[in-house]
Amino acid sequence: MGGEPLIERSATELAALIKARQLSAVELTQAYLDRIDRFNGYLSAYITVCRDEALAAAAEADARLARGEETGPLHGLPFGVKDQFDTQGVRTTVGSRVYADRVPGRDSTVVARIKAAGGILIGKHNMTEFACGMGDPYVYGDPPRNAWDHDRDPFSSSTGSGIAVAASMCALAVGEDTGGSIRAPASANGIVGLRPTWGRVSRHGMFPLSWSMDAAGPMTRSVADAALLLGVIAGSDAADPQTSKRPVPDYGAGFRADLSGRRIGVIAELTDGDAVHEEVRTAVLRAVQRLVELGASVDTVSVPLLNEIGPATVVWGSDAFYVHRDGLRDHYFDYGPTVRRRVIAAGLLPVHLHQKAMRIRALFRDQWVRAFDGFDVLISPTLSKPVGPISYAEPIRTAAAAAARMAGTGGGTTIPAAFAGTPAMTLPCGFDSHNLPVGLQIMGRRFQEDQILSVGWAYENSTDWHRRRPQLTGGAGPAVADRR
Amino acid sequence: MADLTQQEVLVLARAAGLQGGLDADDLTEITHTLNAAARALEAFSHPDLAAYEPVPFTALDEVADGGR
Repeated sequence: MGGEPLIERSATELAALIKARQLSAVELTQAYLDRIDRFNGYLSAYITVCRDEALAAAAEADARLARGEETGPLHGLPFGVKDQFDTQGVRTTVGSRVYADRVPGRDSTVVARIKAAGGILIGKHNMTEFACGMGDPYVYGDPPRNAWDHDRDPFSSSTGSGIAVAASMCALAVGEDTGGSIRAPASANGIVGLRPTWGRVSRHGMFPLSWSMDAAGPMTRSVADAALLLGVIAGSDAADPQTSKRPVPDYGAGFRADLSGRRIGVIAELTDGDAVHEEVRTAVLRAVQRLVELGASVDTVSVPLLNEIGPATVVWGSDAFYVHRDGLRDHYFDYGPTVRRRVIAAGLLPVHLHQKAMRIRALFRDQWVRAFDGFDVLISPTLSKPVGPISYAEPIRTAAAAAARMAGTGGGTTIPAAFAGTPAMTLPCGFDSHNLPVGLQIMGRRFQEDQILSVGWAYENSTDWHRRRPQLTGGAGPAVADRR
Repeated sequence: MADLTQQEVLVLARAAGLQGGLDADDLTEITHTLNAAARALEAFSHPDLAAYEPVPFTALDEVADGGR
């Protein structure tokens, strides 16, 4: 095998090599484990590594192939999941010290489906506390580091998944996105991250943050890999009654290099103006030009409520208060300050204002859906500013500081799809002047992940952003637990 | 809605089940955050808002139709 090093290849390529018996699952798994040994102590992508179990599963995968048994589409591929997903017999901390010793008795549906498709669980990825502790030091392995610049923010809350895929520490990953928690770390680490339609992927066995906004989805090296993984994890689940019974299509069937006839809308409020850094805007508009060159028609679309819905996003916190009320009562100081403050503040909101927030959400959702009239997909930057240094939140001590933070909590680039329950995907579209990745966000109508993926694939196929790899320097760092 | 005082927030927290009370620094930030959120939500105005029910998501067609 020539070309790229083994572990830097896409999952789709690796799956084909394994199936053709040109590569063994054991060899691939060991290569990732060696990579984790070398760099995880510094990057803190993994909270738990399942070394012995992964190698045993890899050996069994190779044996099954040798016996000529039927294999699934992910056969022999090592994968990791955000430590928010239950994994049978493997500690699942949800990024919190409250669950430091929590060992689920069953796999979450997502994990079970990946294993049934032949995937090999290699470990549990680092995350912010309960998926909402942004701004506090991480409970495990603080700080996780951006794969491209180790002093820069890897973004969250599916932090470790973004780092692990970018740093070639697994072939595939699954994250969770409430308001951007797949897309933000994917963008910051230069990989693909897809938030599916709410109800497309089961949330059974996934520790909740906001029941009405949470969505599990792929974080991968390429769009084809995202399509492959989504096809495995999507679909109705009796254990999650809110999953759709709609058939799961072959998400890669529509991949074409030519985008003739495709109609793309550029969201004005998220692409223009001072809120978007010039380097980000330049990269995104260059990507738009490429889409035009591929045959798509492009026009601008306006969604006026985007600049006003910020306060209404408090609904996620109200959902989270229901989840955490008993935990906060019984383990108050085992929670980090950011989680305590955000969740309790939202949970104490008077009910008439909570109702108003939900009505605002419904109003926005209607405007958002109508924005797609005349378009197949809408696009924007994934993150409006370049990736900055690792930093921590300052406590709020004054009314003015609280008002300023509330004013800064606009609709944002990743909130709209989450608020409306519609799908959105990020993929790399360039690099800024500090050599940090810039992400292009493609958004679609409910259950039209195939539209998003096909537009993304055509763009990716015409560029080489997804083939660039970070130069990892490693370094000393706090040890992260290894399950061996 | 007038801004809540820290004492009032403490009472709300206890009523919500947090009988142990709140850490002093938490109480300060929670009070300011809660008041800022309340002010922002009260200030929001849209002529069509009353026409929308507070439904948090678009119900799946299968569930809405009663089918499983």
